[in-house]
Amino acid sequence: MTREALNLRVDGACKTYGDFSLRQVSLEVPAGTILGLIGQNGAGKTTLMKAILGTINLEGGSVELFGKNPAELPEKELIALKARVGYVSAVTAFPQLVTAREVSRTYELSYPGFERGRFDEMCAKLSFDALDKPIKELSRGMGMKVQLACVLASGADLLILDEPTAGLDPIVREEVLDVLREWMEGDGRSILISSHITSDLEHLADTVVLIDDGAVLVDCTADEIAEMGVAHLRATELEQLLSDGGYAPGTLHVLKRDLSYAALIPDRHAFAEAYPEFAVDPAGIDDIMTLLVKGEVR
Amino acid sequence: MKALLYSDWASLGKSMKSFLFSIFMICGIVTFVSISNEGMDAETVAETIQSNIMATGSLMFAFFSFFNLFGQDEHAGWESVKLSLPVSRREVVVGRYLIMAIIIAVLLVIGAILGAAIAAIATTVKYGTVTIMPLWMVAVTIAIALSAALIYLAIEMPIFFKLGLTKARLYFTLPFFACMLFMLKPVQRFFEGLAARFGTIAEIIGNPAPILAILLVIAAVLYAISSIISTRIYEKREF
Repeated sequence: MTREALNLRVDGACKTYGDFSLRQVSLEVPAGTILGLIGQNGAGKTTLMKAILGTINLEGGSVELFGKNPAELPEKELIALKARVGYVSAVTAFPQLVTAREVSRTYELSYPGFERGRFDEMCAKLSFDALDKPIKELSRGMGMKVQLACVLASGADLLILDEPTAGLDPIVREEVLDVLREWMEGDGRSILISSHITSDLEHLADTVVLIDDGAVLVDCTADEIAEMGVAHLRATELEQLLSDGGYAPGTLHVLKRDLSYAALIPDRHAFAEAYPEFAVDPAGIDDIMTLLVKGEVR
Repeated sequence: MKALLYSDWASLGKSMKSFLFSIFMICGIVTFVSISNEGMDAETVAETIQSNIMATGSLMFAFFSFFNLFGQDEHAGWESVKLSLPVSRREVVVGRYLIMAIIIAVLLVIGAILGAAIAAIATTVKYGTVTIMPLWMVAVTIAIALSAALIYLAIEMPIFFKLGLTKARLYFTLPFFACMLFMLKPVQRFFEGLAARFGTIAEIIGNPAPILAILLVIAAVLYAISSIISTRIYEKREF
């Protein structure tokens, strides 16, 4: 992948805050793709987003947006580069007394590619009609809709979305996901989205990156996730699996459940062929995250 | 930059009610105290009303705006979101310096007009003649108030850009404490001497305008230097 075709590239990002460290985090978001960022609270997702947005300085590594390192750009070029990035915060982080209409005007004045008609269209699609209400009177869902309508109309090519669906009811969540899918139909666009609601990412992301304790634990494509499985094994079955040598020591993530063991299987079809008597189900992102973070390496 | 100025202006516009209330209170108190003082002549009443409304009323709201703007930056993470917009950190700082200078200037002009109107009404009611401060005295009051406000902000803004409102609140009274130095005799003597010298120079020139212009230029230069310091500080700050 050429750097020009990458909308975002993070290479070996390092940052320490007290006893928390972001350690050698690398990821790539090519044009036309969605990267889902998952991890527990405090894993480092928001810190990584802050590093991408330049609100914190990295101690090591680099961030490139559209092939350019923002830290090395003169002011004019930096502003032009930032006009290609739209950020949605996990909370409605606007001045509390201004109205949604005034917030949209702020975006219109700062993004040269902002389209008023597109903003109105987005508001209609998201069923948002409280443009003249102060931000402080909006619910979390309404606030998220304002943020989304603003960035989707901004003319940005890369969206950084921090938990955009958290706290939203299922209907609004689905509306938001639909709008994002539709936005992605434009050329050269991409999204970096963090979410605790992994089912959202299963239907949206092309790549999923799991961060745990400040480091990337797994970086895999949707196809690789579709191949993964969770084997439900009795103790004797687990011993058999480990002793067969089909999995090298230190490669199998196993979690003890009440009466059985759950093991993360990288290729469930091959596994089902090799062990037809063992139960294996497709692995969801939640399963993968739980087994990789909480599981024991065997 | 336009977006930042618009956002700050829109936020402050929502505080108009509290501005109107505070200016109404100040106008009411100052007018009542002035006209109920039997020892004052019409000129003194007009001077008291106008200078208090201009300096106290306008500057009080300007400082209220200052805290309001820094407060909303911290609230709910607006500062992070603001920095994600296509703006540079230098623009954020310069935008804040600009909006504060505009607010102070606008409020002083409003204060001057309002003060003159109230003084005219109050003196007409009490003395039967329309008496207002001479225009040159209004200009002197505006120049001194504007210079004082700019110098105060020139000291405070770098601290607020470094620490944010929550932490910087501890230091916002520092310039007021500095004013307490005036309680010391040597400081009083120094400034009395300085004022006397300026008075003499003004008398020789026959007009205080050049001295006020110098004062304004000094305040503006300090304000500009302060914005450069704040930009350097803010460029290193993390959110």
